[in-house]
Amino acid sequence: MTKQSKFSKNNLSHLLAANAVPIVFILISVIGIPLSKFSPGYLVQEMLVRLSRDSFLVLSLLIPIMAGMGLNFGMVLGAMAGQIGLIFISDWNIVGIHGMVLAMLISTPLAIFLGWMCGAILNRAKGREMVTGFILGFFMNGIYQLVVLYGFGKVIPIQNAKLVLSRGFGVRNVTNLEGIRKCLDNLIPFEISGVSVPLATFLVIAVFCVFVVWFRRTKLGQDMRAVGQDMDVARSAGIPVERTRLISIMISTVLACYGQIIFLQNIGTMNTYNSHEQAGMFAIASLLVGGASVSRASILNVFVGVVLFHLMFVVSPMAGKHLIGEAQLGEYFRVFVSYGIIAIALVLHAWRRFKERERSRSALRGEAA
Amino acid sequence: MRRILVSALLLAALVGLGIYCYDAGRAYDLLVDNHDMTLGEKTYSGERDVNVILSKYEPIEMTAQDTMVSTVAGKKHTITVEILDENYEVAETVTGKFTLKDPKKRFLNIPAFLGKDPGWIMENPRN
Repeated sequence: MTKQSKFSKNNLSHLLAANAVPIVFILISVIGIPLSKFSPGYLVQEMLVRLSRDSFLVLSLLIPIMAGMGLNFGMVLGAMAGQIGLIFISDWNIVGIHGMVLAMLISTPLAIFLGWMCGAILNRAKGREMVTGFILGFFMNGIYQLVVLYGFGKVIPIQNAKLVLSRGFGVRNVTNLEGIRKCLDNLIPFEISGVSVPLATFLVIAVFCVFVVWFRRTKLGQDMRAVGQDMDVARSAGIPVERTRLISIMISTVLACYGQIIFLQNIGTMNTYNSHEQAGMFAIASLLVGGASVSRASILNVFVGVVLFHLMFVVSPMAGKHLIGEAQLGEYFRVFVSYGIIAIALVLHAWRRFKERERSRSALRGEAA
Repeated sequence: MRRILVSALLLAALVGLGIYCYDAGRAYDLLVDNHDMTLGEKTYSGERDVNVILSKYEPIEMTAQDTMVSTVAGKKHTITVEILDENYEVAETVTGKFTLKDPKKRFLNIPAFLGKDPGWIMENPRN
């Protein structure tokens, strides 16, 4: 009896430790929702919009995790490629779903190249992939800014005067994507009791989920899992480890590129010089909030994470406003909570890893005894 | 060899899709004009209030002697002109098709279209 209760206590503490991050966010949301005074209908609508906007970007992180490369901070490279495609279609004045597809087609070779470059570098930095990817993102940001600020209009011809800075070269800070705004979201109009559902975007996301499930069962997917578990064992089994890791990063970068295009078609405007910077950080934070870890992530983690993270994002400013009484303070609260939750997610993730190690150590001691 | 062929076909299909998207998605600003127009010896009167519907876009409500800008995507379009009576009820509907071939011709004169004049799509005469 004592043994059983000890077992169930251990199980419960393990369950809590494993899901500490989503549990904390659920608790914060439970407190924040009544304080914000938002109606359930509004929150459901907001969550649907944000799920359709962000899920693709977050899903693009799954494949490198499968290959044991951790959270792909290098996904911002894919986001940059997507933005280059969007600048081109804005210049050529291509609108609607055709414009979005053309932006994807234009940016695909660029995303493949950047993914290859990122993968090759990460192969030389085994065990330090996340920090290398993070710094690589900063480095490529510099190159991106150089190309967009000086290359466009000087080397790469730009016809649309509205897109170019008054000096004659360089793209303006804000690129208007009115022509493709919500073109995918509104492709199949669908409403349930006053709540608009972006059905076409969800179908694309569903296809992506099916792709991930299918991919895991393919030879390449199995190889990635083997590489993710133990690179030396995988190499001994004849799996081309470096090539497999390279492909995983390339796939992730290309999918991040599409994810960024889907994200920006929903927003309808692009911060030319910093939209991509937020993409990686928020996608990774969402995945962590969903209960994923550096070495383990599922499709469920993606959706739970996006909902919880964005629920906080929507609720926190109004909750802050009603709690403190001033709209501006609410805005500070929003920024504080936004960055705070990323920090909490990462700290809780580190704590969970520590607890897991401690648990496996005590289990080993128990077995030895 | 087979692999190269498949890759080449895939690449060709993607390039083809790109060209199609460029052609079908390119937006054009059109000037829709309901002013009097003289073409050759004929004069078409723009004294009627009309609703102009270009393909599947929102109807453009135009009073007499009015000019509006409309943005359309792609080169091939249909035009539906609803002629309104004094009570703003649709008295007559005229439909047609047009293709934007000449990049300079972006001016659609509705009275000339209603008069079935082939030159109803023209360069902006006010330039």
